Amino acid sequence: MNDRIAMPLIPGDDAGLPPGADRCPGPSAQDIVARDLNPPPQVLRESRYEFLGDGDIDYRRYTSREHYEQEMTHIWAKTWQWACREEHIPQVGDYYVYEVGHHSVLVVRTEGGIKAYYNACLHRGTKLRPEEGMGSAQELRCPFHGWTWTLEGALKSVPCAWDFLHVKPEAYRLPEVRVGLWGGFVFINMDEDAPSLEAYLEVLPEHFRNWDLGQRYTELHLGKILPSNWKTGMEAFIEAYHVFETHPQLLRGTGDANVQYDVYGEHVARFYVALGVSSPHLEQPLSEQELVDSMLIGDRSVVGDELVVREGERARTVMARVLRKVLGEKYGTDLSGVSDTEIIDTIEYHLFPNMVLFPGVSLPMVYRFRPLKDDPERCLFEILFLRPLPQEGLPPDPPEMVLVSEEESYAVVPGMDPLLAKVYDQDTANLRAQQQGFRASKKPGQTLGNYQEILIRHFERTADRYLARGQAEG
Amino acid sequence: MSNAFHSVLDAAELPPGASKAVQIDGHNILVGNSAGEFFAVQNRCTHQDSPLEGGRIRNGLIACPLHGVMFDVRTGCGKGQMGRVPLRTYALRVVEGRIEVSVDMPLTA
Ligand code: FES
Ligand code: FES
Ligand SMILES: [Fe+2]
Repeated sequence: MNDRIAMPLIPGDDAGLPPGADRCPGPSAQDIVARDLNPPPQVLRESRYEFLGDGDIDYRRYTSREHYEQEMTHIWAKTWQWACREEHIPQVGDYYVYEVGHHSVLVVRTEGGIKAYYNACLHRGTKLRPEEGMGSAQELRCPFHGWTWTLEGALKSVPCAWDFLHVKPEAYRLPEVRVGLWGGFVFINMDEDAPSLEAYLEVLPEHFRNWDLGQRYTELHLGKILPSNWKTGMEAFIEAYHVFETHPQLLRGTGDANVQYDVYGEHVARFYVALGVSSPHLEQPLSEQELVDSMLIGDRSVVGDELVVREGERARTVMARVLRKVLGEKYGTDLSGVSDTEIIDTIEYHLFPNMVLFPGVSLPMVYRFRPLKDDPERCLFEILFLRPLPQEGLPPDPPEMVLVSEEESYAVVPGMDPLLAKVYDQDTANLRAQQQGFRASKKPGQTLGNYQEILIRHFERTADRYLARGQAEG
Repeated sequence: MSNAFHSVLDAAELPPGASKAVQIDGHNILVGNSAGEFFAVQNRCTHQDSPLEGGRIRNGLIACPLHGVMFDVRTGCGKGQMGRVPLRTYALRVVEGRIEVSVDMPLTA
């Protein structure tokens, strides 16, 4: 431990503080960013923690098939979920199949805008498009007997129509799934009674007012099968408490124990990590030059020898200056008005149920965690890198997802920074052991930190609310 | 005819994203342009036999217009369970602005 910062090793003494009020000793994320040369925007100057209880979280919600089925009905069929990016379906006829558990939705670009349909034929049920992912067609034709719909969902032709005189075309329009657009993402919702996407997003549109993710394009898209429940996987990414043990190399350059955690409404939460500082856990704080040399920036290959800290400068200032220039040039975009923290830090928003967004510039990811088919103990974890749209010329076509198997390193993905791949490898290497431990445990649930693991508690509380509402409606 | 390349089209007739069916010695072949790179594959989908002509070409894949199965235009490999059988691919070259295709040259990778 940093010898200037006293931290007890054994928990238990609340020192008279109310629950959830204690914080890591030493400077907070806000203290660190307040000293930046180019100061943060207002949305990053606020903090909003709320104590939400300290009871254990039952392991059965990660292992039980019954619970999984409940989620399929009361969460996945009721919430807004990001299905694809608009750039996945740029032209009329382009479509994207989005699947979650057994649900399958066909998102189609039509003359009249983007529509989504339940991906099942109205004849005998065959999926109109068999697999997840991008495609393109001028009509939607079922591969079994050839019933065909227009992109707008109208029944267009039925082979041997004489045999189906009882099929009235008006009654055989493809049933629609609701569609909403925000930040270049196409969201879908299978619940006709759900609130609008805009209401569902709560503070997100306001927070992202100056981070228009619609002005980004997908540079990289990878998927990894994880041997865990989708929530187990996601919960490994919405706290930074694990950095100390799981990513020891990141302590050199990450303010981990002093990450800021914020909760908003039911669907939105965030965490905010100042980089380019020593971890409060480090015994010997690093020099500013050492910090610049070791901080994680998402793509080390872009920076060269300009990373020299001059007398009196902070690592954060130097890295922000260099990245502002090299990333601005690399992506043909102007970053001159962007603050240091937006360039270099980890700013991570969570949107219920399964989306994680990073509005920052050097770590520009989006994550999604999805249950796979009918297995409560497997999920698909996806990472997209969203880069600024070039000011001139067209961005490249969005890539197909590169699938990384459970045993493979994230480093196999072309364009993946090896330092970042190592972090992801560490993040998911423990998941199988954790998922199996849920079943092996005598203790029936997990215990959470009041502050650093608040996003997990907030997420699970909202999940419980959806399940309770669904069950109340019967 | 063996090892012969047949001149089929002016390269200029085929902008990126376009494809055109041609007949050579009884082979029905689709010649296309994938982001500036020309390719030649059999013009019959291995799923349920639809011609591939006019299918959207993106990311090095052509989508069959009938049920949407996608094939890699370089290797012929299909995607997913309906694309298990690959397309035959043909050797192609561009000579003085003309696209030439051979129906019997083994493809070198
Ligand atoms: S199941 Fe689709 S046409 Fe028969
Ligand atoms: S015939 Fe090509 S996808 Fe069915
Ligand atoms: Fe991590």
